[in-house]
Amino acid sequence: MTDSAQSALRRIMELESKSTRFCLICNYITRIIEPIASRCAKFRFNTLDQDCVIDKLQNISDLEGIQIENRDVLVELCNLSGGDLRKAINILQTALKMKKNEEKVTIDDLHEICGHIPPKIIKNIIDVCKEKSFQKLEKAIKDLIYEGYSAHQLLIQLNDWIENENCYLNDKKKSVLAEKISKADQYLLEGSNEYLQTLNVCSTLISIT
Amino acid sequence: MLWVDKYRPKTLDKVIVHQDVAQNLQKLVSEGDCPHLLFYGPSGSGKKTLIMALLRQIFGPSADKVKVENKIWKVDAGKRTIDVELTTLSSTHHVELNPSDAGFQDRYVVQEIIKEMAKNRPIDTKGKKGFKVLVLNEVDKLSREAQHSLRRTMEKYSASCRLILCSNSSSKVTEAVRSRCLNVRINAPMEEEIVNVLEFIAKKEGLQLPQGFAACIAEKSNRNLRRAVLTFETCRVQQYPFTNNQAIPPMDWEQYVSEIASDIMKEQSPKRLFEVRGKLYELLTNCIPPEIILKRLLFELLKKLDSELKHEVSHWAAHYEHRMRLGQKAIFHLEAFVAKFMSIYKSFLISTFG
Repeated sequence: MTDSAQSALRRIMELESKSTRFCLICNYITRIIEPIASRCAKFRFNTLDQDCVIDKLQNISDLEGIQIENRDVLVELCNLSGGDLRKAINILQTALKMKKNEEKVTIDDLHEICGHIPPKIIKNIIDVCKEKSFQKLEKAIKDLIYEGYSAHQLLIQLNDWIENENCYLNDKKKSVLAEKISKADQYLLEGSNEYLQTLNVCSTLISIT
Repeated sequence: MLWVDKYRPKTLDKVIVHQDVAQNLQKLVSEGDCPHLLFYGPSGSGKKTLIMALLRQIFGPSADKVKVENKIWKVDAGKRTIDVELTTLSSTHHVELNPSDAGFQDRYVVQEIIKEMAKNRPIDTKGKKGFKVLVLNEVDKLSREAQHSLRRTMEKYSASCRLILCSNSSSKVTEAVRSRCLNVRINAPMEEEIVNVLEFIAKKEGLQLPQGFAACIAEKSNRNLRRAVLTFETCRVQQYPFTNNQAIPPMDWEQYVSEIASDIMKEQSPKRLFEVRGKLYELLTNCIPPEIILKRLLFELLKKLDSELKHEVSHWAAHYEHRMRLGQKAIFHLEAFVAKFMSIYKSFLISTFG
Protein backbone atom coordinates (compact mmCIF):
# COMPACT_ATOMS: atom_id res chain seq x y z
CA MET A 1 0.00 0.00 0.00
CA THR A 2 1.12 3.55 -0.57
CA ASP A 3 2.18 5.64 2.39
CA SER A 4 -0.92 7.81 2.25
CA ALA A 5 -3.20 4.78 2.21
CA GLN A 6 -1.35 3.41 5.20
CA SER A 7 -1.79 6.69 7.08
CA ALA A 8 -5.51 6.56 6.39
CA LEU A 9 -5.62 3.02 7.68
CA ARG A 10 -3.93 4.10 10.88
CA ARG A 11 -6.79 6.48 11.64
CA ILE A 12 -9.38 3.80 11.01
CA MET A 13 -7.55 1.34 13.19
CA GLU A 14 -7.66 3.77 16.09
CA LEU A 15 -11.26 4.78 15.71
CA GLU A 16 -12.70 1.33 15.28
CA SER A 17 -10.49 -0.50 17.70
CA LYS A 18 -13.48 -1.19 19.94
CA SER A 19 -15.36 -3.22 17.39
CA THR A 20 -12.75 -4.49 14.99
CA ARG A 21 -9.40 -6.20 15.16
CA PHE A 22 -7.14 -5.91 12.15
CA CYS A 23 -4.98 -8.68 10.89
CA LEU A 24 -2.38 -7.42 8.45
CA ILE A 25 -0.11 -9.50 6.26
CA CYS A 26 2.96 -8.18 4.50
CA ASN A 27 6.13 -9.45 2.89
CA TYR A 28 8.46 -6.76 4.18
CA ILE A 29 8.03 -5.06 7.54
CA THR A 30 10.24 -2.20 6.37
CA ARG A 31 7.58 -1.08 3.95
CA ILE A 32 4.98 -0.62 6.69
CA ILE A 33 4.97 2.88 8.12
CA GLU A 34 6.11 3.17 11.70
CA PRO A 35 2.75 4.26 13.26
CA ILE A 36 0.98 1.16 11.97
CA ALA A 37 3.80 -1.15 12.93
CA SER A 38 3.75 0.22 16.46
CA ARG A 39 0.02 -0.38 16.78
CA CYS A 40 0.27 -4.07 16.03
CA ALA A 41 1.69 -7.07 17.77
CA LYS A 42 4.20 -8.48 15.31
CA PHE A 43 4.71 -12.07 14.34
CA ARG A 44 7.65 -12.83 12.17
CA PHE A 45 7.49 -15.80 9.82
CA ASN A 46 10.83 -17.18 8.85
CA THR A 47 11.33 -18.99 5.60
CA LEU A 48 10.57 -22.62 6.12
CA ASP A 49 13.28 -24.91 7.28
CA GLN A 50 14.61 -27.09 4.49
CA ASP A 51 14.08 -30.35 6.38
CA CYS A 52 10.58 -29.27 7.19
CA VAL A 53 9.80 -28.56 3.52
CA ILE A 54 11.29 -31.87 2.46
CA ASP A 55 9.27 -33.77 5.03
CA LYS A 56 6.10 -32.10 3.87
CA LEU A 57 6.88 -32.85 0.22
CA GLN A 58 7.68 -36.44 1.10
CA ASN A 59 4.41 -36.66 2.96
CA ILE A 60 2.44 -35.30 0.00
CA SER A 61 4.13 -37.56 -2.49
CA ASP A 62 3.47 -40.59 -0.27
CA LEU A 63 -0.20 -39.72 -0.01
CA GLU A 64 -0.55 -39.04 -3.73
CA GLY A 65 1.51 -42.05 -4.67
CA ILE A 66 4.13 -40.13 -6.60
CA GLN A 67 7.21 -42.17 -7.38
CA ILE A 68 10.30 -40.17 -6.55
CA GLU A 69 13.71 -41.39 -7.53
CA ASN A 70 15.49 -40.51 -4.30
CA ARG A 71 15.75 -37.91 -1.60
CA ASP A 72 18.10 -35.77 -3.71
CA VAL A 73 15.17 -34.94 -5.97
CA LEU A 74 13.33 -33.39 -3.06
CA VAL A 75 16.41 -31.47 -1.96
CA GLU A 76 16.77 -30.09 -5.50
CA LEU A 77 13.07 -29.25 -5.58
CA CYS A 78 13.57 -27.35 -2.37
CA ASN A 79 16.48 -25.39 -3.84
CA LEU A 80 14.62 -24.63 -7.06
CA SER A 81 11.63 -23.20 -5.25
CA GLY A 82 13.82 -21.08 -2.98
CA GLY A 83 12.03 -22.20 0.17
CA ASP A 84 8.62 -21.36 -1.27
CA LEU A 85 6.48 -24.34 -0.29
CA ARG A 86 3.55 -23.42 -2.51
CA LYS A 87 5.78 -23.21 -5.52
CA ALA A 88 7.40 -26.51 -4.63
CA ILE A 89 4.03 -28.23 -4.37
CA ASN A 90 2.93 -26.75 -7.67
CA ILE A 91 6.04 -28.04 -9.37
CA LEU A 92 5.51 -31.45 -7.86
CA GLN A 93 1.94 -31.56 -9.10
CA THR A 94 2.98 -30.58 -12.59
CA ALA A 95 5.65 -33.26 -12.55
CA LEU A 96 3.01 -35.80 -11.64
CA LYS A 97 0.77 -34.68 -14.50
CA MET A 98 3.57 -35.13 -17.00
CA LYS A 99 4.33 -38.63 -15.75
CA LYS A 100 1.45 -40.98 -16.04
CA ASN A 101 2.84 -44.47 -16.31
CA GLU A 102 4.24 -44.93 -12.84
CA GLU A 103 7.49 -43.39 -13.92
CA LYS A 104 9.78 -41.91 -11.33
CA VAL A 105 10.25 -38.18 -11.01
CA THR A 106 13.89 -37.23 -11.60
CA ILE A 107 15.94 -34.09 -11.13
CA ASP A 108 15.93 -33.48 -14.89
CA ASP A 109 12.15 -33.40 -14.91
CA LEU A 110 12.16 -30.72 -12.27
CA HIS A 111 14.68 -28.65 -14.22
CA GLU A 112 12.56 -28.96 -17.33
CA ILE A 113 9.41 -27.84 -15.55
CA CYS A 114 11.06 -24.82 -13.95
CA GLY A 115 12.82 -23.81 -17.14
CA HIS A 116 16.06 -24.22 -15.25
CA ILE A 117 19.13 -24.44 -17.48
CA PRO A 118 20.91 -27.78 -17.02
CA PRO A 119 24.22 -27.36 -15.14
CA LYS A 120 26.01 -28.92 -18.11
CA ILE A 121 25.17 -25.99 -20.37
CA ILE A 122 26.16 -23.42 -17.76
CA LYS A 123 29.44 -25.22 -17.22
CA ASN A 124 30.04 -25.24 -20.96
CA ILE A 125 29.56 -21.48 -21.18
CA ILE A 126 31.91 -20.88 -18.25
CA ASP A 127 34.52 -23.20 -19.72
CA VAL A 128 34.32 -21.42 -23.06
CA CYS A 129 34.86 -18.13 -21.28
CA LYS A 130 37.87 -19.60 -19.53
CA GLU A 131 39.32 -20.58 -22.90
CA LYS A 132 38.87 -16.98 -23.99
CA SER A 133 37.42 -18.08 -27.25
CA PHE A 134 34.96 -15.54 -28.51
CA GLN A 135 33.83 -17.57 -31.47
CA LYS A 136 32.88 -20.53 -29.32
CA LEU A 137 31.10 -18.22 -26.93
CA GLU A 138 28.97 -16.78 -29.71
CA LYS A 139 27.98 -20.27 -30.71
CA ALA A 140 27.30 -21.38 -27.14
CA ILE A 141 24.98 -18.44 -26.54
CA LYS A 142 23.22 -18.89 -29.83
CA ASP A 143 22.62 -22.53 -28.99
CA LEU A 144 21.34 -21.57 -25.57
CA ILE A 145 18.75 -19.30 -27.13
CA TYR A 146 17.84 -21.80 -29.84
CA GLU A 147 17.20 -24.34 -27.12
CA GLY A 148 14.62 -21.92 -25.79
CA TYR A 149 16.21 -21.20 -22.42
CA SER A 150 15.66 -17.73 -21.13
CA ALA A 151 18.48 -15.25 -20.78
CA HIS A 152 17.07 -14.12 -17.49
CA GLN A 153 17.46 -17.62 -16.10
CA LEU A 154 21.07 -17.67 -17.32
CA LEU A 155 21.78 -14.50 -15.38
CA ILE A 156 20.27 -15.97 -12.23
CA GLN A 157 22.32 -19.12 -12.56
CA LEU A 158 25.53 -17.25 -13.36
CA ASN A 159 24.90 -15.26 -10.22
CA ASP A 160 24.54 -18.48 -8.24
CA TRP A 161 27.81 -19.60 -9.72
CA ILE A 162 29.56 -16.44 -8.52
CA GLU A 163 28.31 -17.03 -5.02
CA ASN A 164 29.44 -20.62 -5.14
CA GLU A 165 32.77 -21.36 -3.49
CA ASN A 166 34.06 -23.22 -6.56
CA CYS A 167 34.12 -20.01 -8.56
CA TYR A 168 37.67 -19.25 -9.65
CA LEU A 169 37.35 -15.47 -9.75
CA ASN A 170 38.73 -13.24 -7.02
CA ASP A 171 36.46 -10.90 -5.13
CA LYS A 172 37.18 -7.87 -7.22
CA LYS A 173 36.40 -9.65 -10.48
CA LYS A 174 33.29 -11.14 -8.95
CA SER A 175 31.98 -7.70 -8.16
CA VAL A 176 32.65 -6.49 -11.70
CA LEU A 177 30.72 -9.41 -13.11
CA ALA A 178 27.90 -9.06 -10.60
CA GLU A 179 27.50 -5.44 -11.53
CA LYS A 180 27.30 -6.40 -15.20
CA ILE A 181 24.71 -9.04 -14.44
CA SER A 182 22.51 -6.63 -12.53
CA LYS A 183 22.71 -4.11 -15.33
CA ALA A 184 21.84 -6.71 -17.94
CA ASP A 185 18.92 -7.86 -15.82
CA GLN A 186 17.54 -4.35 -15.78
CA TYR A 187 17.98 -4.00 -19.53
CA LEU A 188 16.26 -7.30 -20.13
CA LEU A 189 13.32 -6.20 -18.02
CA GLU A 190 13.08 -3.09 -20.15
CA GLY A 191 12.81 -5.31 -23.18
CA SER A 192 16.30 -5.50 -24.65
CA ASN A 193 17.46 -8.26 -26.92
CA GLU A 194 18.41 -11.43 -25.05
CA TYR A 195 21.29 -12.38 -27.29
CA LEU A 196 23.07 -9.04 -27.10
CA GLN A 197 22.73 -8.78 -23.34
CA THR A 198 24.00 -12.27 -22.63
CA LEU A 199 26.87 -11.81 -25.05
CA ASN A 200 27.82 -8.65 -23.22
CA VAL A 201 27.80 -10.35 -19.81
CA CYS A 202 29.77 -13.36 -21.01
CA SER A 203 32.30 -11.26 -22.89
CA THR A 204 32.94 -9.44 -19.63
CA LEU A 205 33.65 -12.79 -18.08
CA ILE A 206 36.14 -13.46 -20.87
CA SER A 207 37.88 -10.15 -20.46
CA ILE A 208 38.32 -10.44 -16.70
CA THR A 209 39.61 -14.00 -16.58
CA MET B 1 -0.49 -24.57 -50.97
CA LEU B 2 2.92 -23.92 -49.49
CA TRP B 3 4.80 -26.90 -48.21
CA VAL B 4 5.06 -25.37 -44.75
CA ASP B 5 1.29 -25.56 -44.44
CA LYS B 6 0.80 -28.71 -46.43
CA TYR B 7 3.11 -30.81 -44.28
CA ARG B 8 2.27 -29.28 -40.94
CA PRO B 9 1.50 -32.25 -38.66
CA LYS B 10 -2.19 -32.28 -37.88
CA THR B 11 -2.24 -34.49 -34.81
CA LEU B 12 -0.01 -34.94 -31.81
CA ASP B 13 1.03 -38.47 -32.76
CA LYS B 14 2.17 -37.41 -36.23
CA VAL B 15 4.73 -34.81 -35.22
CA ILE B 16 8.31 -35.48 -36.26
CA VAL B 17 10.47 -33.15 -34.24
CA HIS B 18 9.04 -32.70 -30.77
CA GLN B 19 7.84 -36.20 -30.06
CA ASP B 20 8.59 -36.13 -26.35
CA VAL B 21 6.73 -32.86 -25.84
CA ALA B 22 3.81 -34.14 -27.89
CA GLN B 23 3.62 -37.29 -25.79
CA ASN B 24 3.58 -35.28 -22.60
CA LEU B 25 0.83 -33.06 -23.95
CA GLN B 26 -1.15 -36.08 -24.95
CA LYS B 27 -0.93 -37.45 -21.43
CA LEU B 28 -1.88 -34.09 -20.07
CA VAL B 29 -5.13 -33.81 -21.99
CA SER B 30 -6.04 -37.48 -21.87
CA GLU B 31 -8.27 -36.79 -18.89
CA GLY B 32 -10.10 -34.11 -20.83
CA ASP B 33 -8.69 -31.23 -18.86
CA CYS B 34 -5.46 -29.31 -18.81
CA PRO B 35 -3.83 -26.48 -16.88
CA HIS B 36 -3.01 -23.12 -18.42
CA LEU B 37 -0.10 -23.55 -20.79
CA LEU B 38 2.77 -21.32 -21.78
CA PHE B 39 4.69 -22.36 -24.88
CA TYR B 40 7.99 -20.61 -25.38
CA GLY B 41 10.82 -21.05 -27.84
CA PRO B 42 12.52 -19.38 -30.80
CA SER B 43 10.56 -18.76 -33.99
CA GLY B 44 10.16 -21.60 -36.43
CA SER B 45 10.44 -24.23 -33.73
CA GLY B 46 6.87 -25.48 -33.92
CA LYS B 47 5.01 -23.81 -31.07
CA LYS B 48 1.97 -22.98 -33.12
CA THR B 49 1.87 -26.38 -34.78
CA LEU B 50 1.85 -28.09 -31.40
CA ILE B 51 -0.86 -25.80 -30.09
CA MET B 52 -3.12 -26.50 -33.05
CA ALA B 53 -2.49 -30.22 -32.78
CA LEU B 54 -3.28 -30.04 -29.08
CA LEU B 55 -6.58 -28.28 -29.73
CA ARG B 56 -7.49 -30.93 -32.25
CA GLN B 57 -6.64 -33.56 -29.68
CA ILE B 58 -8.99 -31.99 -27.13
CA PHE B 59 -11.89 -30.93 -29.31
CA GLY B 60 -11.64 -33.14 -32.37
CA PRO B 61 -11.88 -31.93 -35.95
CA SER B 62 -14.27 -29.11 -35.11
CA ALA B 63 -11.26 -27.12 -33.93
CA ASP B 64 -10.28 -26.82 -37.57
CA LYS B 65 -13.36 -24.92 -38.61
CA VAL B 66 -12.23 -21.42 -37.87
CA LYS B 67 -13.62 -18.12 -38.91
CA VAL B 68 -11.78 -14.84 -38.99
CA GLU B 69 -13.49 -11.91 -37.42
CA ASN B 70 -12.43 -8.32 -37.35
CA LYS B 71 -14.36 -6.42 -34.80
CA ILE B 72 -14.20 -3.04 -33.14
CA TRP B 73 -14.74 -3.29 -29.42
CA LYS B 74 -15.97 -0.41 -27.37
CA VAL B 75 -14.12 -0.42 -24.09
CA ASP B 76 -15.00 1.67 -21.09
CA ALA B 77 -11.90 3.30 -19.69
CA GLY B 78 -12.89 5.57 -16.86
CA LYS B 79 -14.63 8.59 -18.30
CA ARG B 80 -14.36 7.89 -21.99
CA THR B 81 -14.85 4.94 -24.27
CA ILE B 82 -12.05 3.71 -26.47
CA ASP B 83 -12.38 1.81 -29.70
CA VAL B 84 -10.07 -1.16 -29.93
CA GLU B 85 -9.85 -2.96 -33.20
CA LEU B 86 -8.87 -6.58 -33.00
CA THR B 87 -8.83 -9.56 -35.29
CA THR B 88 -9.78 -12.89 -33.80
CA LEU B 89 -9.72 -16.39 -35.16
CA SER B 90 -12.36 -18.55 -33.57
CA SER B 91 -13.96 -21.94 -33.70
CA THR B 92 -16.75 -23.20 -31.49
CA HIS B 93 -14.26 -24.22 -28.84
CA HIS B 94 -11.42 -21.81 -29.00
CA VAL B 95 -10.55 -18.21 -29.77
CA GLU B 96 -7.17 -17.14 -30.96
CA LEU B 97 -6.01 -13.57 -30.77
CA ASN B 98 -2.99 -11.36 -30.79
CA PRO B 99 -3.48 -8.90 -27.95
CA SER B 100 -0.23 -7.06 -28.58
CA ASP B 101 -1.64 -5.85 -31.92
CA ALA B 102 -3.55 -3.24 -29.98
CA GLY B 103 -0.24 -1.56 -29.12
CA PHE B 104 -0.34 0.53 -25.98
CA GLN B 105 -4.02 -0.27 -25.55
CA ASP B 106 -3.29 -3.93 -24.95
CA ARG B 107 -4.29 -3.51 -21.33
CA TYR B 108 -7.89 -2.90 -22.34
CA VAL B 109 -7.86 -5.92 -24.58
CA VAL B 110 -6.88 -8.10 -21.65
CA GLN B 111 -9.10 -6.42 -19.11
CA GLU B 112 -12.27 -6.21 -21.15
CA ILE B 113 -12.22 -8.38 -24.22
CA ILE B 114 -10.50 -11.43 -22.85
CA LYS B 115 -12.55 -11.20 -19.70
CA GLU B 116 -15.71 -11.05 -21.77
CA MET B 117 -14.69 -14.14 -23.71
CA ALA B 118 -13.59 -16.01 -20.65
CA LYS B 119 -16.87 -15.38 -18.86
CA ASN B 120 -18.99 -17.18 -21.43
CA ARG B 121 -19.04 -20.80 -20.66
CA PRO B 122 -19.80 -23.27 -23.42
CA ILE B 123 -22.22 -26.09 -22.71
CA ASP B 124 -21.96 -29.16 -24.88
CA THR B 125 -24.79 -31.26 -26.26
CA LYS B 126 -25.09 -33.40 -23.17
CA GLY B 127 -25.54 -30.31 -21.08
CA LYS B 128 -22.19 -30.88 -19.47
CA LYS B 129 -20.16 -27.86 -18.67
CA GLY B 130 -17.14 -27.68 -20.89
CA PHE B 131 -14.30 -25.24 -21.03
CA LYS B 132 -13.13 -22.83 -23.61
CA VAL B 133 -9.60 -22.25 -24.78
CA LEU B 134 -8.11 -18.85 -25.44
CA VAL B 135 -4.91 -18.83 -27.45
CA LEU B 136 -2.89 -15.67 -27.00
CA ASN B 137 0.06 -15.06 -29.30
CA GLU B 138 3.16 -12.99 -28.64
CA VAL B 139 2.59 -12.65 -24.92
CA ASP B 140 6.14 -11.38 -24.51
CA LYS B 141 5.19 -8.24 -26.43
CA LEU B 142 2.42 -7.43 -23.98
CA SER B 143 3.01 -4.48 -21.72
CA ARG B 144 3.60 -5.01 -18.02
CA GLU B 145 0.18 -3.73 -17.03
CA ALA B 146 -1.50 -6.04 -19.48
CA GLN B 147 0.38 -9.02 -18.10
CA HIS B 148 -0.65 -8.10 -14.58
CA SER B 149 -4.29 -7.90 -15.58
CA LEU B 150 -3.89 -11.21 -17.33
CA ARG B 151 -3.02 -13.07 -14.16
CA ARG B 152 -6.22 -11.88 -12.51
CA THR B 153 -8.25 -13.18 -15.43
CA MET B 154 -6.43 -16.48 -15.31
CA GLU B 155 -7.35 -17.05 -11.69
CA LYS B 156 -10.87 -15.78 -11.75
CA TYR B 157 -12.15 -17.69 -14.76
CA SER B 158 -10.05 -20.80 -14.45
CA ALA B 159 -13.20 -22.89 -14.08
CA SER B 160 -14.55 -22.04 -17.51
CA CYS B 161 -11.56 -21.12 -19.55
CA ARG B 162 -8.02 -22.26 -20.26
CA LEU B 163 -5.39 -19.96 -21.61
CA ILE B 164 -2.69 -21.10 -23.97
CA LEU B 165 0.03 -18.51 -24.22
CA CYS B 166 2.65 -18.47 -26.91
CA SER B 167 5.81 -16.39 -26.71
CA ASN B 168 9.33 -16.19 -28.04
CA SER B 169 11.22 -15.63 -24.84
CA SER B 170 10.13 -16.55 -21.38
CA SER B 171 12.14 -13.81 -19.71
CA LYS B 172 9.76 -11.17 -20.98
CA VAL B 173 6.76 -12.88 -19.45
CA THR B 174 6.37 -11.87 -15.82
CA GLU B 175 7.09 -14.38 -13.12
CA ALA B 176 3.50 -14.12 -11.89
CA VAL B 177 2.07 -15.25 -15.20
CA ARG B 178 4.70 -17.93 -15.68
CA SER B 179 4.06 -19.50 -12.31
CA ARG B 180 0.37 -19.86 -13.11
CA CYS B 181 1.03 -21.85 -16.25
CA LEU B 182 2.61 -25.12 -17.11
CA ASN B 183 5.67 -23.96 -19.00
CA VAL B 184 6.45 -25.89 -22.13
CA ARG B 185 9.85 -25.19 -23.62
CA ILE B 186 10.01 -25.79 -27.34
CA ASN B 187 13.60 -25.87 -28.53
CA ALA B 188 14.58 -25.13 -32.09
CA PRO B 189 15.00 -28.40 -34.02
CA MET B 190 18.52 -29.76 -34.39
CA GLU B 191 20.01 -29.79 -37.87
CA GLU B 192 19.60 -33.56 -38.14
CA GLU B 193 15.94 -33.24 -37.30
CA ILE B 194 15.51 -30.61 -39.99
CA VAL B 195 17.17 -32.98 -42.45
CA ASN B 196 14.70 -35.69 -41.42
CA VAL B 197 11.77 -33.41 -42.06
CA LEU B 198 13.14 -32.34 -45.44
CA GLU B 199 13.62 -35.96 -46.42
CA PHE B 200 10.08 -36.73 -45.31
CA ILE B 201 8.73 -33.95 -47.52
CA ALA B 202 10.91 -34.97 -50.44
CA LYS B 203 9.59 -38.51 -50.19
CA LYS B 204 6.00 -37.35 -50.15
CA GLU B 205 6.59 -35.04 -53.09
CA GLY B 206 8.49 -37.73 -54.95
CA LEU B 207 11.71 -35.74 -55.21
CA GLN B 208 15.30 -36.90 -55.19
CA LEU B 209 17.05 -35.12 -52.35
CA PRO B 210 20.81 -35.58 -52.08
CA GLN B 211 22.02 -35.98 -48.49
CA GLY B 212 24.55 -33.16 -48.71
CA PHE B 213 22.06 -30.68 -50.06
CA ALA B 214 19.58 -31.30 -47.25
CA ALA B 215 22.34 -30.81 -44.70
CA CYS B 216 23.28 -27.58 -46.46
CA ILE B 217 19.75 -26.18 -46.25
CA ALA B 218 19.53 -27.21 -42.60
CA GLU B 219 22.75 -25.44 -41.79
CA LYS B 220 21.70 -22.23 -43.55
CA SER B 221 18.33 -22.17 -41.83
CA ASN B 222 19.70 -21.27 -38.38
CA ARG B 223 17.69 -24.11 -36.88
CA ASN B 224 14.48 -22.52 -38.03
CA LEU B 225 12.29 -25.24 -39.49
CA ARG B 226 9.89 -22.93 -41.25
CA ARG B 227 12.74 -21.16 -42.97
CA ALA B 228 14.29 -24.47 -43.97
CA VAL B 229 11.10 -25.72 -45.59
CA LEU B 230 10.54 -22.43 -47.38
CA THR B 231 14.12 -22.42 -48.69
CA PHE B 232 13.67 -26.00 -49.81
CA GLU B 233 10.61 -25.05 -51.81
CA THR B 234 12.35 -22.04 -53.34
CA CYS B 235 15.26 -24.24 -54.43
CA ARG B 236 12.82 -26.69 -55.94
CA VAL B 237 11.40 -23.92 -58.11
CA GLN B 238 14.84 -22.67 -59.11
CA GLN B 239 16.48 -25.88 -60.11
CA TYR B 240 15.50 -29.53 -60.19
CA PRO B 241 17.01 -32.16 -60.01
CA PHE B 242 19.02 -30.98 -57.05
CA THR B 243 22.77 -31.12 -56.95
CA ASN B 244 24.91 -31.26 -53.85
CA ASN B 245 26.53 -27.89 -54.43
CA GLN B 246 23.47 -26.02 -55.56
CA ALA B 247 23.55 -22.40 -54.43
CA ILE B 248 21.04 -21.53 -51.75
CA PRO B 249 19.85 -17.99 -52.22
CA PRO B 250 20.84 -16.02 -49.11
CA MET B 251 18.45 -13.57 -47.53
CA ASP B 252 19.05 -10.31 -49.36
CA TRP B 253 18.98 -8.15 -46.24
CA GLU B 254 21.64 -10.29 -44.60
CA GLN B 255 23.87 -9.72 -47.58
CA TYR B 256 23.16 -6.03 -47.38
CA VAL B 257 24.13 -5.90 -43.72
CA SER B 258 27.37 -7.69 -44.43
CA GLU B 259 28.09 -5.07 -47.12
CA ILE B 260 27.54 -2.37 -44.54
CA ALA B 261 29.91 -4.13 -42.17
CA SER B 262 32.68 -4.29 -44.72
CA ASP B 263 32.09 -0.63 -45.61
CA ILE B 264 32.60 0.31 -41.99
CA MET B 265 35.74 -1.79 -41.70
CA LYS B 266 37.30 -0.20 -44.78
CA GLU B 267 37.01 3.42 -43.86
CA GLN B 268 36.13 5.31 -40.71
CA SER B 269 35.14 8.87 -41.51
CA PRO B 270 32.10 11.15 -41.27
CA LYS B 271 31.64 10.76 -45.00
CA ARG B 272 31.45 6.98 -44.75
CA LEU B 273 29.10 7.31 -41.80
CA PHE B 274 26.79 9.35 -43.98
CA GLU B 275 26.80 6.66 -46.64
CA VAL B 276 26.12 3.98 -44.08
CA ARG B 277 23.20 5.94 -42.77
CA GLY B 278 21.62 5.84 -46.21
CA LYS B 279 21.98 2.08 -46.29
CA LEU B 280 20.54 1.68 -42.82
CA TYR B 281 17.57 3.76 -43.86
CA GLU B 282 17.15 1.51 -46.84
CA LEU B 283 16.90 -1.52 -44.53
CA LEU B 284 14.52 0.19 -42.15
CA THR B 285 12.17 1.29 -44.93
CA ASN B 286 12.07 -2.33 -46.05
CA CYS B 287 10.66 -3.24 -42.64
CA ILE B 288 13.64 -5.10 -41.23
CA PRO B 289 13.30 -4.72 -37.45
CA PRO B 290 16.09 -2.48 -36.10
CA GLU B 291 17.23 -4.87 -33.37
CA ILE B 292 17.68 -7.58 -35.95
CA ILE B 293 19.81 -5.23 -38.04
CA LEU B 294 21.93 -4.38 -35.03
CA LYS B 295 22.32 -8.02 -34.04
CA ARG B 296 23.33 -9.02 -37.52
CA LEU B 297 25.69 -6.07 -37.87
CA LEU B 298 27.40 -7.03 -34.63
CA PHE B 299 27.69 -10.60 -35.85
CA GLU B 300 29.30 -9.48 -39.10
CA LEU B 301 31.67 -7.06 -37.37
CA LEU B 302 32.75 -9.60 -34.76
CA LYS B 303 33.76 -11.97 -37.54
CA LYS B 304 36.32 -9.46 -38.78
CA LEU B 305 37.59 -8.03 -35.51
CA ASP B 306 40.64 -8.67 -33.37
CA SER B 307 39.76 -10.46 -30.19
CA GLU B 308 40.77 -7.64 -27.87
CA LEU B 309 38.14 -5.34 -29.32
CA LYS B 310 35.31 -7.84 -29.31
CA HIS B 311 34.33 -7.32 -25.72
CA GLU B 312 34.13 -3.57 -26.03
CA VAL B 313 32.13 -3.70 -29.23
CA SER B 314 29.61 -6.17 -27.86
CA HIS B 315 29.26 -4.01 -24.79
CA TRP B 316 28.34 -1.03 -26.92
CA ALA B 317 25.98 -3.06 -29.05
CA ALA B 318 24.09 -4.11 -25.92
CA HIS B 319 24.12 -0.54 -24.73
CA TYR B 320 22.68 0.97 -27.90
CA GLU B 321 20.15 -1.78 -28.36
CA HIS B 322 18.79 -1.01 -24.92
CA ARG B 323 18.60 2.68 -25.74
CA MET B 324 16.85 1.90 -28.96
CA ARG B 325 14.22 0.06 -26.97
CA LEU B 326 13.63 3.06 -24.74
CA GLY B 327 13.81 5.63 -27.50
CA GLN B 328 11.51 6.25 -30.39
CA LYS B 329 13.57 6.52 -33.53
CA ALA B 330 15.79 3.56 -34.21
CA ILE B 331 18.04 5.22 -36.76
CA PHE B 332 19.70 7.47 -34.16
CA HIS B 333 20.83 4.54 -32.12
CA LEU B 334 21.93 2.44 -35.06
CA GLU B 335 23.96 5.35 -36.30
CA ALA B 336 25.36 6.03 -32.86
CA PHE B 337 26.53 2.45 -32.69
CA VAL B 338 28.23 2.71 -36.08
CA ALA B 339 29.91 5.97 -35.07
CA LYS B 340 31.05 4.48 -31.77
CA PHE B 341 32.42 1.47 -33.54
CA MET B 342 34.29 3.65 -36.02
CA SER B 343 35.89 5.66 -33.22
CA ILE B 344 36.93 2.54 -31.30
CA TYR B 345 38.33 0.88 -34.38
CA LYS B 346 40.12 3.98 -35.62
CA SER B 347 41.85 4.61 -32.30
CA PHE B 348 42.81 0.94 -32.17
CA LEU B 349 44.35 1.19 -35.64
CA ILE B 350 46.25 4.35 -34.73
CA SER B 351 47.62 2.88 -31.50
CA THR B 352 48.75 -0.32 -33.23
CA PHE B 353 50.09 0.94 -36.52
CA GLY B 354 50.79 4.58 -35.69
